[in-house]
Amino acid sequence: MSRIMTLPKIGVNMTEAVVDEWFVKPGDVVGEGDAIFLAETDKATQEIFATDSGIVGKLIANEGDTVQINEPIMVLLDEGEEYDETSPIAQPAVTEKEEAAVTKVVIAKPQTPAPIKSTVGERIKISPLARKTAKDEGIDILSLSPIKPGKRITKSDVLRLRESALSTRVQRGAVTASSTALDTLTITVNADMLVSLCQKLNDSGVAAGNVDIITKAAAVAIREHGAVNGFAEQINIAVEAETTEGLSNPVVIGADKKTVAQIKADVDASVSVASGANFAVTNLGALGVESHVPAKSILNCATLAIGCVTKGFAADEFDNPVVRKQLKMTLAFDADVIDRAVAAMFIMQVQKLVENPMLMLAL
Amino acid sequence: MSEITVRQALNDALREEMEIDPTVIIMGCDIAVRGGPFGVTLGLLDQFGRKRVKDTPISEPGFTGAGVGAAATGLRPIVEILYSDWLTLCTDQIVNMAAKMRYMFGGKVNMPLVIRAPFGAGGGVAAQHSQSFEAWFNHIPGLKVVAPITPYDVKGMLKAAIRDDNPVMFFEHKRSYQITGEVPDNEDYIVPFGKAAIRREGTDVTIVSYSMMSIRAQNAAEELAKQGISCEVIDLRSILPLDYETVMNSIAKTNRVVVCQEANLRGGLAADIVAEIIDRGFDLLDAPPVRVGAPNVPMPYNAGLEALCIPDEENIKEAVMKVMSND
Repeated sequence: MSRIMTLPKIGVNMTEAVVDEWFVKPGDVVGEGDAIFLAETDKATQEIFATDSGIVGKLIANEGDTVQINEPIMVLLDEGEEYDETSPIAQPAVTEKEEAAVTKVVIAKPQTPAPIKSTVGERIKISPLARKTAKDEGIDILSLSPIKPGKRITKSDVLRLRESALSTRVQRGAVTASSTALDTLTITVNADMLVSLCQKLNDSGVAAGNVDIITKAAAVAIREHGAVNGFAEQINIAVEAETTEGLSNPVVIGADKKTVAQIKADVDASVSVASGANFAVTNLGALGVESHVPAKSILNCATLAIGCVTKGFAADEFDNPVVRKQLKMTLAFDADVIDRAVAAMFIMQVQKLVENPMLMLAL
Repeated sequence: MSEITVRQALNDALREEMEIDPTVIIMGCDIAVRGGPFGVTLGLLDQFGRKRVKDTPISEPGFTGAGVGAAATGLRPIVEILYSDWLTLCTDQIVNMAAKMRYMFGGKVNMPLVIRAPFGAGGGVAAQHSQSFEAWFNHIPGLKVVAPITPYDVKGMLKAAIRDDNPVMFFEHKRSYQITGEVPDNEDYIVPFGKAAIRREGTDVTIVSYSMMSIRAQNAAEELAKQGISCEVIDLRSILPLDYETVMNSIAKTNRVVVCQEANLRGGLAADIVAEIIDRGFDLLDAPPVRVGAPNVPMPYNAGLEALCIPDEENIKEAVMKVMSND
């Protein structure tokens, strides 16, 4: 149905406008809120926006014409319709005209500058420090919220968001990790000193095995490479042991601060699945397996798999073969969460500590 | 070390400086024969004689002007204004003469003048004897302004003030004379201007204070610590120059600040300090700074109303809670 669009009233005192320049011509498609012509009004030169959508059938007002408000300015058609001077034209009732035009303008006007309006209009109550911290962290302040509604956003709110983003990232990584193959890094380490330390400890009445010393080494290395456990403040390591009766994975809380004897005691004390682990050590070596690659992580964290101690040949400094004790370690992790380079640095640090456990006295 | 009062610390500082330097003189109402209305100058007349310890008529503009002239011509006078409220009478001598002379004469005149002015509220001495005017003099280029509170600082800063070649406004709190503290025996020390003291270390809120308010701030901080709020209390000691380095370092740690003064709030030193903090470290602030001060009324004589008007530990605690609230 063809219909007439009239000049909308856009200022309180506006009574008429001069059509300066049309932006549309017959045949153009016009959406409600589109600028259709430039007008000189009592206030200034400004754009007039369409109050309806359709196809321009005819421009009634010509450039240079002075048009009173609510006077027809153009004819709009529906799609597929042809403009015909004689076709019936819907004439909105005059009493409704002004009202309709005004309300429509109110709706139409903000459509163009919508994004600006939504950000400028709302003031965000945020401290200068929080604003700066968010900027430094690359966090959009629109994504922040105070701890209680109505309170000011402070630095702690920014840090809270960052922490949750981090843990989301770890969780997301974990989901991937449990559903897809992990990245793995495998190294062979010299176990001469590890085995000899174990022997000495046991001779002195301290019950501790290879896995306990390696767990301690991993914990100490995580201190330097926090990305490996998602920057968790406390280094909690699940020590998984496969048994013929199933899997046990006691968690050693704050493993880096414990002695190997305490780690051993923690592992022995608990056989149930405990929560709170942010790193895992798995020991199929205890069953005589030389190496294994964890295809998925049960506890949703990076996992260090330890193989059994074997004897093997290695080259000494003169390239002569020497027999030494060695074992293989494989770190399984999700590269979406932990950079491969960080993972490599971490496992090299573990190697250094396992090959020379006395270094841990200084760390 | 000996435990002495603020009164004794002031007396010791005056005596020691007068012994060291024969050009040091003191004058004011009742300071010679009577030994000072607060007993600060007891014994000095006997030791140094009438030429160096002078009782004056009750004319602050007269004897302050005499002090300015004496300072300009080679002596190091200490002028006592019995109540700092009377600074109104001699402000022309201080602001237009003492503070300007060295500058306007191209540095050819020194102005080693010390104005001792007991200030602060309490004790029911009413509206004309309870005021704190440090903000007025902080506004004047050419002056130095200090307000120490511990016996150690009082003695060391009065000695520093006497040795300074510029006019120094020395504000001593009139309720502080009986406060005791340790001061080294037989040691000629000074406390330099422009260095604040951290009276208590903390991590949550910085409380900037001076004079009696620093003692109240420490008391408030002790109580707040029981609620798990850790306050760092800074005693400025020296108002002009002011140690903003210490203030800003503390705020960099706590990100929240309360600034205390005993004077009524409007146009006060706390406002000036807050403005400077914002200039220097807007991005360090996690909350709007909060000021503590008296209401903008003349100090009432009535004991109940007076207690209501003097900012105390409760006001400081409320301010700390406000700055912690994030409202």
